[in-house]
Amino acid sequence: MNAESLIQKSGYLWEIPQAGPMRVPGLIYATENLMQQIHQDESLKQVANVAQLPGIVGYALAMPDIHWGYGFPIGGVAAMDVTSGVISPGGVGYDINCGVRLLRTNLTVDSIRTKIKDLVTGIFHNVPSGVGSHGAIKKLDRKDVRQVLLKGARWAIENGFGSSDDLNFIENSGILKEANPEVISERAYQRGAPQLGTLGSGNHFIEISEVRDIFDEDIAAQLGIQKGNIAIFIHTGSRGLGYQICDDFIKVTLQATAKYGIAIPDRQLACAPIQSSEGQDYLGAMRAAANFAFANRQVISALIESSLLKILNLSPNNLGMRLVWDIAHNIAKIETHEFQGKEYNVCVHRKGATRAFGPGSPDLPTQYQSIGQPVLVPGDMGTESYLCVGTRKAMQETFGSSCHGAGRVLSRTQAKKRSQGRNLYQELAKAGIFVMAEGRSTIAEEMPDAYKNVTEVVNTMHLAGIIKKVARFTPMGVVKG
Amino acid sequence: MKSYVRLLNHTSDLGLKVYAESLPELFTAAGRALMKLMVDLDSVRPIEQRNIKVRAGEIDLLFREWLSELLALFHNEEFLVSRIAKVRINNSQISALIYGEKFDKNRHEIRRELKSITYHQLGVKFDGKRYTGTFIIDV
Repeated sequence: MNAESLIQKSGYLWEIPQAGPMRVPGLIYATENLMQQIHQDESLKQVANVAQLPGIVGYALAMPDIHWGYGFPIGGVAAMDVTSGVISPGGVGYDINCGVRLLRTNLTVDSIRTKIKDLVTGIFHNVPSGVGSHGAIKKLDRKDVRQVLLKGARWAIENGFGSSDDLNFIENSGILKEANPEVISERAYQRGAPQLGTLGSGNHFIEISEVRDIFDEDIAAQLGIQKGNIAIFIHTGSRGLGYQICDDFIKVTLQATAKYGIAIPDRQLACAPIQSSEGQDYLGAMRAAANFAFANRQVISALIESSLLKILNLSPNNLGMRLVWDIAHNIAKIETHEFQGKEYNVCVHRKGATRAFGPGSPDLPTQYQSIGQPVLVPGDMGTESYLCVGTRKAMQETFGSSCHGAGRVLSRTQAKKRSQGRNLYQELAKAGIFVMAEGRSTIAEEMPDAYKNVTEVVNTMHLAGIIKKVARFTPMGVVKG
Repeated sequence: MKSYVRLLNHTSDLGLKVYAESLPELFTAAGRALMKLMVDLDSVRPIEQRNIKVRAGEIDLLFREWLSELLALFHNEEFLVSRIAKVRINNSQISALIYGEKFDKNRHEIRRELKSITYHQLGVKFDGKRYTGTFIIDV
């Protein structure tokens, strides 16, 4: 993919014209500055590769946080016609239903400023993190795991983690129907059993944040977000269970790709017709993993709440912790969208991209019908995060999708090099951020310099009219895996 | 052993390019490099041994299956590999004797989570003189 073939459509929109085996053009949301960064890796080529997949409708889309992934770019969205299109495990990713949830509280910055170390330490010990972390709750047997796979966040609530009101504020009410635990390997069950309620490692985190700015007072008030208050972000997914399911089904779909004669430019784009038995099996397995992730974030929320109640010696009413929204950013969903005047039943792959449904969508809870779906865009651990809402324009242009985070700009090795000789803990502490991490490499690899400017990413989508900014958060305490 | 490893600058994940004079050397070096991304090999005592046998239709896929199998030992049994011996490769099959021990939180620091070996840019090539193996790991 060379720079010359890109067509700049506006200050924040670029097109890769349809050429060669591409079935549709590519469309990238980015400012000129972000596009310069995007050019430095292979993500544009990956957009063009996705555009070659059968049944893709409209465009292969990319959000401003796009960066080089494996197969699909991270920050990519592709809607495939349900009748003629394909589903690709690589288009969802290994961490199926990796996602973010935002919890609001009554706590104020001033009331916890001196206790932030205690709070981070308490959460760090209460929510297991790090590689292969386990032991948050009693180890589940196979029957329990099966129930988690079928019931999602509801399983967590039935087992004492949170309240049933929470389900209103989770994408798809925390449960993807038609999950199929029967097509999941024993290895996946084994990996999932000890890991429910654990954070994992890498870019996963729990963050205690201050609500720093409000951009839309009305919407913020409806979401329970107040300037100067404390909110909590959780970023994690389906843990080893999801990784194993993705791994298993790339093998299945590699065979299906050959069986159905599908030409793919990269083996990681292995796919199967949505209507084929292989495609249906993957959909069922992926939904089951997504349910595990919804349950995981629900359990973690409850573990955090109990830590805060204990450390701060507060009643649940005084703490006022409530789920604002829980979003998936590695997922494929069957949805109905109108695109250029025609209605399509599509399988929307969101790989490092979020759903961003606008006001009036029947998939939103009544409380959010008039404002649109909350869109959570966390930045790196040293800067800021955003709460936005989806718009009607998102429904017309991006199959109701938006950006999911800052997006990496440095490789892990480059980040490590840049961190040499620096005390990142101290740098963050100077900025008022107390960090605890399980893995030694995590802090260096996840350093703020490794990420794009999240404000620029969010502003791009805001200016494009795909999302509307509601509030900005700055971190005070971070638990990294 | 005449082999060496180079880290690739992949934006989101970790990639390795491994060079060696023979296929067994390539597979051994790649396996060790993979484990080194996860743990200090000097901290893993070679006190337990296992036989590994993996099959795949072509050499690229065999390379990936082999590395996945080493990773699976950790994911499924918390077994860390520190030594790889008796590597035999023929007819799309690899067998090897591996040594290591169970993960012990007090003695082993896990450097980072390696989720899976991807198929992106995966390949084993021979230029007439040496073999090159490339793989990217989702982290």
